[in-house]
Amino acid sequence: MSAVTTTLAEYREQLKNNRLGLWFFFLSEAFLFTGLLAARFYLWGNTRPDLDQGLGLVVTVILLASSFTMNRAETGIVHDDRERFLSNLLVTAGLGVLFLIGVVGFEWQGHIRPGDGAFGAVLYGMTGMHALHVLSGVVFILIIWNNGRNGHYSGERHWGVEACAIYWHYVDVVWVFFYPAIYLMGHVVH
Amino acid sequence: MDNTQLFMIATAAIVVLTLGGGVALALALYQLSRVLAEGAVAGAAPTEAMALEAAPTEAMALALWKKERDAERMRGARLTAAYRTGVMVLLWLGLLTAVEFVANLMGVSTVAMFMIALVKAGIILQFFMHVSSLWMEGGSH
Repeated sequence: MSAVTTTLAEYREQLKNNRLGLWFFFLSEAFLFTGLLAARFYLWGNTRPDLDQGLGLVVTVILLASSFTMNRAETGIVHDDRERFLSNLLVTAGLGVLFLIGVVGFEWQGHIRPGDGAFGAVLYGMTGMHALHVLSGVVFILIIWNNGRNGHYSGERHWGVEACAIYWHYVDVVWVFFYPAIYLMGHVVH
Repeated sequence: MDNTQLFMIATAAIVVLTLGGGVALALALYQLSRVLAEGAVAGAAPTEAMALEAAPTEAMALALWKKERDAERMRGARLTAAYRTGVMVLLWLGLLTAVEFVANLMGVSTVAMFMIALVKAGIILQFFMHVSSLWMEGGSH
């Protein structure tokens, strides 16, 4: 974008359009995740499978903590605090990987398989789609980190960082609804 | 000790452990971030002796130096305030997650838990995703 825009005023005008475009993308994503939530309530009703509650809580706390570190990274670059920006990006990516290990490495190795009727289909559909977004978010963060390490971004011009941070928080917001829907709502069916 | 008392003690223990774990995680991440940053903040803060040594003697230059020093202090204060907001948001999200978890143990309705999730999402949207910036002029957050 810097090749196209030359002045700060033009950059800021472009920024408004970029933000609007990103939020439209989130709107389209919301249809996807709302569809998955609707499938959960239609197929599971007021029941849920017997899942590891401790694991659900741990991965949720990890994802919330990663949003915190991502916010610190963004705050860092806004205030030209480059060292903290880069270090917090790495911690965020690490927490994202931990979340993936928790879901794919542990939850998916439990007693429920994808072919186990409505429970298996919905559980793997919801966690799988969300995990895919977390994975793409981690890749996004690592690209931003590499760019930052090579001297890109400043307090005035950091749209890439802002977009990455908002995308990561969006993935967190999705889990805020998925966590109670999968682990907490309804009574357990053994 | 009957079952009700045991249940209440277990609930209180979960809340304390969840919040304690969240705070401990936040502190650990903060320290890790500081270690990785290799004391960038500490290095940026000038000591009194350094400031006195650097202070020019001419009146005009002194005024300019004070102006720059005040601007630097203001920048530091804004940065600290921004980081502090992030910590407060994390603590609120941790608290609401603990409430959600305990509400599940107490058999609270699906609607109530959905409302808690809505509040959490609202906090993230406002403080982390800066949704209000959509209606602002295109400056920084």
